[in-house]
Amino acid sequence: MLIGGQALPAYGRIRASQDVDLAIAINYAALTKLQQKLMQLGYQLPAGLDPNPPLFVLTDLKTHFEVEIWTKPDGIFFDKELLRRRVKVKPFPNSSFEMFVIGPEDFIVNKLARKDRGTQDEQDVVSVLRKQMGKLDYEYLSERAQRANVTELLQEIMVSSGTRPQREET
Amino acid sequence: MAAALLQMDQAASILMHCSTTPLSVSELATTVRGNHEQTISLVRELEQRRLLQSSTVKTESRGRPRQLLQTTILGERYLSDYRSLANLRLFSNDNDIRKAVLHADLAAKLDEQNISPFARFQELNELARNIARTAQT
Repeated sequence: MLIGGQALPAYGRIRASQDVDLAIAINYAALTKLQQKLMQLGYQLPAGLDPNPPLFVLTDLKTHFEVEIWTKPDGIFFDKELLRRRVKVKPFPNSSFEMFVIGPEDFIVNKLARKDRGTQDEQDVVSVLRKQMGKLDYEYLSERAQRANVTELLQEIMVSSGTRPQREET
Repeated sequence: MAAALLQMDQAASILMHCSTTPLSVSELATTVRGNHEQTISLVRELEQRRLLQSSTVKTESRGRPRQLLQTTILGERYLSDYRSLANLRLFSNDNDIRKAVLHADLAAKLDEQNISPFARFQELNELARNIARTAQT
């Protein structure tokens, strides 16, 4: 499932990001197998890789394309609700390949919960809050924000960007 | 090059003081505080740049006519631009700078492999557009 800056165009403004972040729900045994398979296919993984890291960077040695694979993305709770809210996209127009993009509410919480959160991440959140205003499931967003401990930050951003839902303002 | 640069903050301070009321050099030097010689040197430079002009005013009392400094229209424009720049807020934090360094490293790596970072940017931009177009929200 696509998360991070490349997921933004699905809900907010179109911004080309150099980072490609993928979140995978995977158990330890399957992850080890996946890492071995990727190396056999010619992808480079960091040497001395922790067998169960929160994320690892994958490099395609042909194209030097780097992808961050997150097994424990910040603020993300892999459950049925999260999976139900994913959206399918076709990133390549001449291919039938489809992939999932994280739902908008979880996108917001993930961006706010990132330990390396920068101004760009907050601007991305504002972009989704603005573009999806009225369409978001604010109850779910609030519940996930609370679990990720970013409620205060979310409220602050909503107030400063004028994207607080009307129901909350009254 | 550095010598040609104006001491912006101090220049703005001088222009601000001479904007409302024309002042003599000594009045100005007292008002802006700081190094007297530096102020006079900066006044000369501002005059050369036509940001400040001095005019001679005859006094009713005896003595030499006074030389008063006043900010020119160009100087007012400088002040206005200075104020708008001073009001700009810097939004970047440490993480943004770290990310910028990472991105620069990535671009350097691509360059080493004879891959154009701009071509890669276009590729990712295309990907972003396709994601935006096909997302069913």
